[in-house]
Amino acid sequence: MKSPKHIQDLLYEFHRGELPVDERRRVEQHLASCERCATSAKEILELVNAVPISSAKPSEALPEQFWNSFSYAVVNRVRSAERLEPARKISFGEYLQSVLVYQRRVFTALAVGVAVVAVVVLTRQFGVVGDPDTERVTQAQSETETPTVQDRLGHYFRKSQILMVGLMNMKSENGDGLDLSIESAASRELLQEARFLSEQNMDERTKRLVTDLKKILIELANIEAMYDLPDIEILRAGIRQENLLFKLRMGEQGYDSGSQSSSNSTEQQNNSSQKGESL
Amino acid sequence: MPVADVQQLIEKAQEGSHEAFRILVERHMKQAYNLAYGFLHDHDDAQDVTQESFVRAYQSIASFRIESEFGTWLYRIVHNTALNRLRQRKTILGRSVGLDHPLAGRAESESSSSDRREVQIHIERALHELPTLQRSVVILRHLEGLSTRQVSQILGCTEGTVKTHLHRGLKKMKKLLDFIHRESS
Repeated sequence: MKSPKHIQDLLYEFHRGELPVDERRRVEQHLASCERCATSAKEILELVNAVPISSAKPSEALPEQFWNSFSYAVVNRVRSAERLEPARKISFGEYLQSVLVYQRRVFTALAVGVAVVAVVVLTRQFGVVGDPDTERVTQAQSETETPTVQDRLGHYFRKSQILMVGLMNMKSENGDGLDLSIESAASRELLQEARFLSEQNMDERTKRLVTDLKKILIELANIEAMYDLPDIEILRAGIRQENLLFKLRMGEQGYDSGSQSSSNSTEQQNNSSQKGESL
Repeated sequence: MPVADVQQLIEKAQEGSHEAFRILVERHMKQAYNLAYGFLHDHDDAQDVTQESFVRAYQSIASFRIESEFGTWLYRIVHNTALNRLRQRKTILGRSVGLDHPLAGRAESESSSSDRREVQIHIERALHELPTLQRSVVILRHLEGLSTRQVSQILGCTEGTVKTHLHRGLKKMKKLLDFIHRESS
């Protein structure tokens, strides 16, 4: 027999007749023997009956002719929206700005390119050959610089926390909507990291947090073209409901202290090995 | 319709095919309409919001990611468009139709002509008193009969959240409806 909690989770579906026959029978059997669940079932039945559901679908009230032409009407509206889309005139100021920004980018790219070529030429010219010891040290440094899963988790939690705090505190200027294009782009980047992290080995709690966060990030990434207040309200409610900000803070602290302690232990190991060598 | 076909239609629509998008509209129009009507309780508004939602869906279909289900993505647009329309309607009504306005009296007399319509109006009034998320959950899960899973995907929350808000929302609705019944009788 299933636990009362599980049965209580099914009571709404039970009263709506959405359960498969065998599951329904199991609930009935349980209700016959459990007074507590029977009381809950009665309460939920009262709630279900209090808000009656109309059996007729509103779409059925409209003639078939209306539905036959509906999709064509939508496509016509799409077409006229495309036609009406104004070809925006670019002002001289905007043009000048775009040219300057473009030129600055080209200039930066050129400067970087010249610097790289100069380094390569100078290296060859003066025959600077890598010292094997130096190379080993550089290799070791690059190995230590590659972020571990723990580091990446710490970064992921920190960036997500910043994003969520920003989202929670955002206010609409005219009450119509918010431009979330930057947040959306940031959440897409974080989603890639989430995909990598969810494939790594980690404790259950962290994994759950990564998954919960991923759901919010997917929503935020998809919000791009329809940055409406309802969406944002729902996202905020989701963040509050899951207590995500608190969990993130705890997660971030955990992984920061984890990485710090691991780096401390590495330092201790290095010190002890140095002492060993000097002895 | 097989999933592969839907995917193909989405891809074609993303490339700009009106015909592919029209087929997608045909597939989802009735459910989208029912959903809009659930929020607006008015055929003209529901029709307009459904069309507007499809236009917005077409305009942003390039940003649609196959990770989420098309229907769920579309219903969320309908959900948002309908909520925006409700907000606009509230503002317009607040500005132009006071309780002493002839329109308000007419609506009242029309509503009393049918018991079913009256119940619907009571439900609509009670729904308006709920916070956004609770209202959406009650409409999507209870009135429209979408599954808990679908609702959680549309609203971007867990199934547990949907269940909690459904319970709270129905409880509040019951209280409000009892109050409205007492008030009207």
